[in-house]
This record gives sequence, C-alpha cells and structure tokens, in this order.
Amino acid sequence: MGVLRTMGKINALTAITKIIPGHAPQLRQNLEALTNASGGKIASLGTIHIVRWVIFDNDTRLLFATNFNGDVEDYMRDFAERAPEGIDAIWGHCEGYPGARDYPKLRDYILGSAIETTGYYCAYPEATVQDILKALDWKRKFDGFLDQIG
Amino acid sequence: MALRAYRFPFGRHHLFRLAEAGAARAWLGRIAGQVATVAAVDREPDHTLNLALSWQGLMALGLPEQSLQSFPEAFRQGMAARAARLGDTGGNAPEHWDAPFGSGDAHLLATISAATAEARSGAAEALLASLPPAGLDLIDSLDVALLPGPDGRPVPVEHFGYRDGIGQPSIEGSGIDAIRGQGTAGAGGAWRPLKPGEFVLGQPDETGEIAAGPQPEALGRNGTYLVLRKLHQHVARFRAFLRTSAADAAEEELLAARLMGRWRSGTPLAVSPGGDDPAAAADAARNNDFSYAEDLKGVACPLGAHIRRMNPRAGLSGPAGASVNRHRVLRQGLPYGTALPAGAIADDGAGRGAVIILINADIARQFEFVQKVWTNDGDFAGLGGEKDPIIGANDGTGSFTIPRSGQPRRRIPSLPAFVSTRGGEYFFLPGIRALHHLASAGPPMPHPTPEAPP
Repeated sequence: MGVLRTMGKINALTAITKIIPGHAPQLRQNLEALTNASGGKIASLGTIHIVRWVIFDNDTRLLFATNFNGDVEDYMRDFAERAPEGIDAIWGHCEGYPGARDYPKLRDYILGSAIETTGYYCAYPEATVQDILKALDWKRKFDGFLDQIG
Repeated sequence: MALRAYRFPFGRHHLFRLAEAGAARAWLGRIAGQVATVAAVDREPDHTLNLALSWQGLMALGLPEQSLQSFPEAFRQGMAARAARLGDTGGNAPEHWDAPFGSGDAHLLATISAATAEARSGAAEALLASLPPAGLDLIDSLDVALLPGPDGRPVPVEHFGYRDGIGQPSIEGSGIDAIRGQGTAGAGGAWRPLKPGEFVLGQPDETGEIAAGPQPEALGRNGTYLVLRKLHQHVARFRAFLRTSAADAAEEELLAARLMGRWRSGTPLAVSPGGDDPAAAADAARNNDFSYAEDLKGVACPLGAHIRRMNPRAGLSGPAGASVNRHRVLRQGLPYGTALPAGAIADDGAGRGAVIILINADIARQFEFVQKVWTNDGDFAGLGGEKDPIIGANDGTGSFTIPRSGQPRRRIPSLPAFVSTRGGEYFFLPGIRALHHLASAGPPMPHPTPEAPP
C-alpha cells in the first residue's frame, strides 16, 4: 500500500478530500463534537495514537492525518461497522463520499484520497497505544504505592 | 461442509489442474448431482464429495471477466500472494510449500470425506473413473484421517495429543441445536447463534445486512469460501519444549493445558482451571459453556492460550471485544501422517500435521483477521507482540505469559514454532445450483463434450 508509511508498529496515513461547497461550518461543528470528551468513539477503537483533521484552503478542503497501530484494513473495517454515523458525519460533507456502510467502497475512497508521506519519525515505533496506556497505568499505580510507603 | 462441521474420520483431498474448459465444465455438470448437500449429510452417508474452485480455477473454466472480477480481492489474489499478512514468511513462505500449493495450478479441490477407509477408496475410485480422458489433471492427492487410539480405533485427538473438534460456532438456521458457548456471547451470560451470512453468501450476516457477493447472483447463492491450510506439526519439538519448561509430568500437563486453553482431554481451563475433569470434556453441555467474562485477566485461562485467541468470546476487556462475532470461522480438519510414537522426543523426520479446512463468507474479515490479529499478534489482548503459542509464527524469541492470582505473572520464554505452513489455497465452495451454473457458464464449448468423442 503505497500511501501507507510504516515505522515499527506505527502507520501513518494522510488523506485530502474536497469539502462540498457550503458544508464547512457543519463539518467544523461535527469534528469538534467528535473529538471532544477524550475522543469518544475514536478512543474506543484502541489503536489510534493521534488523529488530526484540518479544514483548509478557504474552507474547501479537509486534511485527515492519523497515526495508528495494526493493519489499516482490519481496523478501518471494524470502525466502519461500529461507528458508521461518525464517519458519515465527517466525510459525508466531502465530495464523492460513498457512505460508511459499504466497506470496500469506503476503503477505496479513503485510500484513494490518501497522499504519500514524505518524511516520518516516531520516538516510540515499537509501542502500541495499548502498551503506552498500560505503562502509564503501571506508573500511576507504582507512584501510588511509593506514596503509601514513603 | 458450509453449515456442518464434518465429523468423518477419513478424508482425501484431490487437487486438479483444469487444462480444458469444455471438458471440465461438462464433467462438473455430470458430477454436480453427487456433491453433498446439507440434507444428504444429515442422512449420515458413508461418504460425501465436496468441490471447490480457486480463482484461477474459475478462470480456467472460462467464467466471464465481469464475473471473475466480482470476487473479493483476497480470493482473487490467493493465499500465497497474501503470505506477508498471514505470517507465512521465512521457513513458512510459499517458496518452501509442498507442491502444488501456491503454484496457481490447484484449480479444483475435490474432497472425499468417509466413514471408513474402504468407503474412501471406493468413492475416490468412482471419482477418478468419472473423469474425462483429458481436461482435468490430478496433480496431488492427500490422505487425512483421525489417528488411531490405544485400541487401534480412530480417536478425535490431534498429533500434539489434544482432543480436537470441540468448539464450533453455532449458526442460526443450520438445523443443529445451539449448544451453550458456541454462538456469540451476549449480555448477562446469554448466547445466541451467529447469523448465517457469516458462513454462507447471500444471507444476512451479523450486521443484519446481506453482503454483496459474486455475480451473477446464481453463482454466489449458498456458496462460501473454503480456506485450506496444510500445517506440519513439530511433535518432537513440542514434547521436548514441555519437558524442558516443566519440572515434572504434572507441571507438563498444566503447561500443555495453558498453551491450548484446554486440558488434553478437551476440558476447558475456563471450566476446570485447577485440574483435568474428563467428565466435563465428555459433556457437550459443559465443554463449551464458558465466556471468559469472569476471567478478563486470564488467571483461569491465559489470554494468549490458543483456543482463547481463536475465539475470545466475551473475554476481551479492551476495544477489540466489540467485534469478536465478525471474525469467526467454521473449522474442520483432520490429521495427516502417522503419529510420533508415544514418549518419543526425537524428531523422526516424518511429515505429519493437519489439513485444516476453514469456512467463512469473507476471507479477509474472518480467516485473515484471525491469522493476522489473533494468531500472530498480541496487542488486541494487551499481550504486546506475543503470538499464538501453538500455531503462531514463532521463531524462538517470543514468549507466553501466564497471569497468576496473588503472585507475579509467569513468562515462558524462547517459544519455538510448533507448526510450519506447508501449503494452502483459497477456494470458492459453490452451492449445487452454482455448480450447474458454472457447468453451463462461459463461452460456448468449442469442442464436442467427452460424452460424444470426435
């Protein structure tokens, strides 16, 4: 997959789509709602390190940039099944969007609008989201333990 | 085969290359009436015949391009081309597979399943006698059979010594009574059968939708995909590993149970973690009645145990738990090769293992996901990069984590591979009507059919 850049266990994907004229305000509102409250459905996927949407070019285009673990196919499909309304709420405001309920078409749409990553660096390429969350949890517990005995 | 996990003790897999479309189609038309249906299987015949085609096979039959392209990408590419996804790299890579797997020549799979070795021979002879003089080249035939037990009678025990063939998805409308633990785990310990569309094309699946299938519709109707894997088992290595990793025979059995998730009798660790309980193994109402919901940390059954990976049930606390029902496969398979004598821990160099037949409606979403995410990764269960201890593509560097209650987890290091991939193919298993469609599809037959030789 040419548009996917991989470093260790982390993959980068960047896609640019055209916003339907006049839809940018609603899209902006939806993106803010979706990413508030610790990411909601995005967090529940458990494999996305960082995802960023940027409305640019005078409200005409949408940049989607994400860093995630695992196979793009495996997880995009699960996500499309579990939260199709969330995907619709974003790319439903973009041109040519086929809807989230037909997975092969959705995949072709997202990967078809993806662009090549030119430079890519990650400080922890072998750590997954689950590894990091677990390590932070252990540190928190260990600190609590030290606080009690100290 | 699609809605019933076969329990026949003997089988023979024939692989054919289709050299001449007209002759092959005429033969398919003649033999289609002998292919097993669910109704026929339920009459408990002494043998059955099943036919399945690879994508190259469909092409060799002369299926129109538009129809060929309507099949999903994974199937069109075939198992060998998907090797990197499947962990079939290094010594497991397609260039090391037994011929003819991965060559693209295994166009047609004709599997005979039989109640006795004699019934198998008879059915195989009849199959070969039905072939036209030219047009279908037999390029491999592979015998599989249950291994003999202590008294010489076949027993459902695979080469590593575990009782096999216990857990199967129960499927809505299959006509088989659902057994607790075999469908999908719902809230509050309830179970319901899986939707048929997970295993048969043209039926509603777990999303409630009917997924798009191959075209024309008559071709996909009641069809499904059959994944064949020929897996060599390193039995001596497995026994030696248990011996060196455990202090005594009892500890060996406990480790063996933890790697599998079942005691060798078949008793699930989730049901009887403290010791084997053969009565539970023999009881169909108990040997699958568990969900791991009360064992999210894996103290009773390790999170990485083979059967827990193959079907995590309600035992995933993380986000991956929400879609377990979308990654199930119907498994059936039989051993090949002779058993390594009891107690031997030196390799005798013989080929032995299992030919596994997996049925699913979507190869990428079901078999490949299970292979990639549940077998050859551990992140979905919080196990980092650990792989399945029994069938994972281990290389001596991996580990197996055993969570324990009230004391630190134990980690078994340096896991070698106990299984090597020796071959495999993706096949389309057509329904009976689709077989007739295939027999009549494609361009008009250019030559007289074999019934009327020139």
